[in-house]
Amino acid sequence: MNTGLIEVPMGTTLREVIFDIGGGMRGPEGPAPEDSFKAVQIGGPSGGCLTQKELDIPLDFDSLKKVGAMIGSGGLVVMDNRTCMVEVARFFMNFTQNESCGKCVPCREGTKRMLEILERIVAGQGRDGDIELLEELADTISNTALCGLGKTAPSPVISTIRNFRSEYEAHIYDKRCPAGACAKLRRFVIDPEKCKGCSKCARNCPVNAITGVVKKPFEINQDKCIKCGACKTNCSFDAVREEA
Amino acid sequence: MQLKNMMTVDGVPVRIEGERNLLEVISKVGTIMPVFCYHSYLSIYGACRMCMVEDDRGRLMAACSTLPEAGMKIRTNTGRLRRYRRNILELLLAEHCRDCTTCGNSGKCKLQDLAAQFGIHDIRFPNSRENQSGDKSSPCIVREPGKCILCGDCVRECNEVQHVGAIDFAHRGSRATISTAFDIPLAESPCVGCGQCAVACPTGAIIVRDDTHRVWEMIDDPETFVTCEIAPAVRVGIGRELGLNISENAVGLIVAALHRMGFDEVYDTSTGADLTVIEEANEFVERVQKGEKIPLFTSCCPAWVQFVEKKYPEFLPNLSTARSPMSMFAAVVKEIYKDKLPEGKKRHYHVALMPCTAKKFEARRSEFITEMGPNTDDVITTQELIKMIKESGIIFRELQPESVDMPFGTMSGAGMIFGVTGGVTEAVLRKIATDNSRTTLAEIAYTGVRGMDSVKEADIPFGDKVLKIAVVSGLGNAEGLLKKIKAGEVHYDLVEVMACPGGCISGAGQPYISHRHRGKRGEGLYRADRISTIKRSQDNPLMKELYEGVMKGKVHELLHVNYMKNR
Repeated sequence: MNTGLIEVPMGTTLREVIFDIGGGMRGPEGPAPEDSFKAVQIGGPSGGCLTQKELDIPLDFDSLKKVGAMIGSGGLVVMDNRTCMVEVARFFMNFTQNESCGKCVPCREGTKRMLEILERIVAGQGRDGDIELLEELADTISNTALCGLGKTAPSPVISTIRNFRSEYEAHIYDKRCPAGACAKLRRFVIDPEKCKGCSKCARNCPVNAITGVVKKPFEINQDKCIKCGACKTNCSFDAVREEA
Repeated sequence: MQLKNMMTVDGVPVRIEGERNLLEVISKVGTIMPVFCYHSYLSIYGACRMCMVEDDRGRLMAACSTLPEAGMKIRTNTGRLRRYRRNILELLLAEHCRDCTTCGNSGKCKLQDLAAQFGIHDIRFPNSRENQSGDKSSPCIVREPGKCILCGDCVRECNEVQHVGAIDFAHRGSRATISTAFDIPLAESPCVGCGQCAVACPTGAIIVRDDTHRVWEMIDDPETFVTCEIAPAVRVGIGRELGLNISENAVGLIVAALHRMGFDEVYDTSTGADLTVIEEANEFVERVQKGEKIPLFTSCCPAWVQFVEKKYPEFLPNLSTARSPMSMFAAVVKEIYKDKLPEGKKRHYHVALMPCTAKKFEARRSEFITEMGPNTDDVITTQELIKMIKESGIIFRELQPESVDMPFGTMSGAGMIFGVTGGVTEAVLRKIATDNSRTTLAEIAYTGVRGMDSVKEADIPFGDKVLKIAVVSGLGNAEGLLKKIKAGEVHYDLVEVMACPGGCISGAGQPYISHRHRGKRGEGLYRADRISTIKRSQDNPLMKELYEGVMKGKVHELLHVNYMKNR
């Protein structure tokens, strides 16, 4: 709730900073419950993502290093369960890839490829083996890059894979985003109980993905659907549901 | 126990003897590290990350940019390192044009070699590089950015060794490229065409322009009279790729191959060099006596001439007006056949076989184009000649040597040593020396003009004076000298400059040779000089014949050039 700049002594725990000083996360309506906490990204784009179980470690150089994070810029980004961790990794990789000077091969070419893979995963185009490929690239880049930017560029990816591997797997194998954040992985379904068969959704669908007989429940063809949400906004009976 | 100055490489103890980096230490145990961006004579760049090594604590470091320290224990080939190297290669290959079969550098490409060595058969990433068009504007070299791996070797060669500064890095991150300033075509940039960037390039991103198709066309045309000349350095540069010993003098075999390929007549540029020696020596003596336009700079190197034109035009009057051997010889050859082409021939086409990329530019200079067209119609580098020989299916080393054709059958040893740094100077000194004894010739050879040093100096007594002479190779070294001359710190009467380090023997048109072996090619030329009957240019009987025959009254028109004219 309380965003801003604070100064705390070394050794303060993350829990104290986030919940006592920061007042927890901001939900859609007022403060979010403490158990909706998902992760905290610490140390800027080259830092790592920590979870619930690391909330009680003291903020100092050595303890953070042990769990694969760093104090870095000192910035904390607190996320609740509406944030997709693959998207977070993509976001930070996009940043570091942009910042690469292009001198050494691992950073110039490697971060570009990692970003490419992350982009396809959040777009629902992930392939079997992508997680392993990301891990392999991350290992190569962090060990062989010329400077600190390259060496730490894979950190957000490494820490999110370590802590949220199932989210990656859901994106790749089930083509779904557990946090419901990845637009291209949204899934709209019509509840046959609520649908009156008025055909309004079908008439508003820009890609003709909805078919049905009037006065009977309509259906969305998921292969054709472009996830625009026009059916949901236009339904007068609240029959279109978005699934994560 | 830790011994002083000892470290171990893959378990082998090695003494550290002032090496600049781990790579030099590693090479002492007989291990070759994979590298793209390291050349011992260039500054250390550390970008390709192929030479990473691991120490006993599992720490990784790039061998090219780590100082050796006593007690170090490094391994050069662990499972981790192999995995990283393969990944780096895969990442490079993913962004690289992989049309190896049609690439001009196929077979000589370091990326191709290492990919094969490390068994990279599968690329898991799509090639997403934006299509970058190549730069074919230069008559000397061709740039293909799609094949560039951004190792920066060309940039450092151009800036550190040659001080030309025609290319540098542009943009950053995955959009980084090598570019001229404002991406202007190479032909309009400060590039002098020396081609040393192509020598340094590990891939096919910068290659020597291939003009062989035009030459084949002319050979195939029955109405065209095709003649050619072989430059001195070509004979000692061609051998190794065609199955001979390094630096073996292969001029007889080259002549035989050219005859068989269909050239009507084959000559030796050394004959042209004899003309250059005579003209340049006369000019030198005249300038020394008049005390004008001293120092006299040699002008047979076209890259050097362009360097002066583009960077130090104030020194243009100091350039010798004597044309280069190629341009003198081509003018004379064209003059001889002007009105009397062999029966059935309607056109005369003259090709120069050169160790040099910049000669391609020189041949196109307006100064050397008459109303009949260019004196030298095409320049073919040693590399292109090798390609033509291979294309013909000729087994080079099994040929029987042949001699060059008349009317240009004789040449002096002085003309042959033009191909190595110091050669022009030595030839000129032989010309101005008053006696022709063996001792005099030996004395000239030991004045200090020979050897692979980049800057050499000699003091030569001449009449009541002592002439100060400098011999420089590599444009960077030449620029250093120019600055000193300009500042008045040094005085010379004669300065020989060759743009390529070591002279024409290491020209960019030659097959690649390591710095260590350059001297061998020079020795090959000195050997050829030793066994030649005629040592001094003026003793070549052909010279008298030419001066009194075809060149009579036309010496200036055929043999001299004024680079100031077009300014």
